[in-house]
Amino acid sequence: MTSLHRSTFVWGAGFVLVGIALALEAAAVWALRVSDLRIVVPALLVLGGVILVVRGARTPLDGEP
Amino acid sequence: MAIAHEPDRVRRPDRIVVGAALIVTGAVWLLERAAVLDVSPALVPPLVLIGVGAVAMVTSLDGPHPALVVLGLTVGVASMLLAAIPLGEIGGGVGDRYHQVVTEEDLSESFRLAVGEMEIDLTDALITGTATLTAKVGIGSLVVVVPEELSVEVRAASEIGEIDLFGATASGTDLRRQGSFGASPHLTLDLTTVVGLVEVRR
Repeated sequence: MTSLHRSTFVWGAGFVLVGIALALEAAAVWALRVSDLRIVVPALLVLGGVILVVRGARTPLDGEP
Repeated sequence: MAIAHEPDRVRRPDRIVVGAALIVTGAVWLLERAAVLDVSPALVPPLVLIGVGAVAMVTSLDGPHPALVVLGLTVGVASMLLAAIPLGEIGGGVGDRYHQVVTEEDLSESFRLAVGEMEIDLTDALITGTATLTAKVGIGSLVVVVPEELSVEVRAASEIGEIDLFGATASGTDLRRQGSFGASPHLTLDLTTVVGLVEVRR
C-alpha cells in the first residue's frame, strides 16, 4: 500500500500554484515588480508559523513520531 | 528445496523525473522548432516549476523527496527574480556603456542596458527645441551628465536602489522622483533602473 508523504505533496502543490501564477505573469495577465518581492520573506515566516502551529496542535497516534 | 525469489524491483523516481523532464523539454523544443508552438522564453521557468511541482505531487506517494523540494525552491526563486527583473525585455546586453549626446537626433537612440553601468553625457549637447531622453537599465547604474546652463525636467524611477538628482538623494524600494531643474526646461529625462542607481548631475 502506498502512503502519501504529505509535506512533499504540499510542496509540490505550492510549486504548481506559484508556477501557474508566474506563467500568468509571463502572459501579461498581471505584473510582478521586484519591489513586490519584499512580501516573500514575511509571507514565508507566516506560512512557517502556521505549519508549526498546526503540527503542534495535532495529536500523534500511537507509534507516530 | 530452496526457492529462488526474484529481488523486489525498486522504482527510481529520480530517473523517472529526469527522463520525463527530458521528454517534455525535447518535445516542446521540437514543436517550437517546427513552428507548431510559439513558446515565449519567459514562460519556460514557470513551466519548469509547474513540472517539478507536479512530479513532487505524484512521487509523494513513494515517500519523501527532499531533492525535488530543493530543486523546486531553486527554480521558484529563480523564476520569481526573472519575472520581476525582465532583463531580456530590457535588452542592451551586459557591460559598461558611454553615450555622448551632441545633437537632438542622438536623443532618439535606444538607451537600454540589461546589466551594467550606463553614462549619458549631455555636456556638449545642442538642444534648442523640446526633446525627451528615455533610458532604462535593468541592474546597475544610470548616470546622466547635463550642462550647467541646461534646464531639465526629470522623471526617475528605481524599484530597488537609489535616486540622486543633483545631490538630492533617496534610497529604498519603489522609488519615484520627478522635478524641474532650471527655468522652462526643454529637455525631459525619463530614467529608470529596476535595481540600482539613477543619478543626474551637472
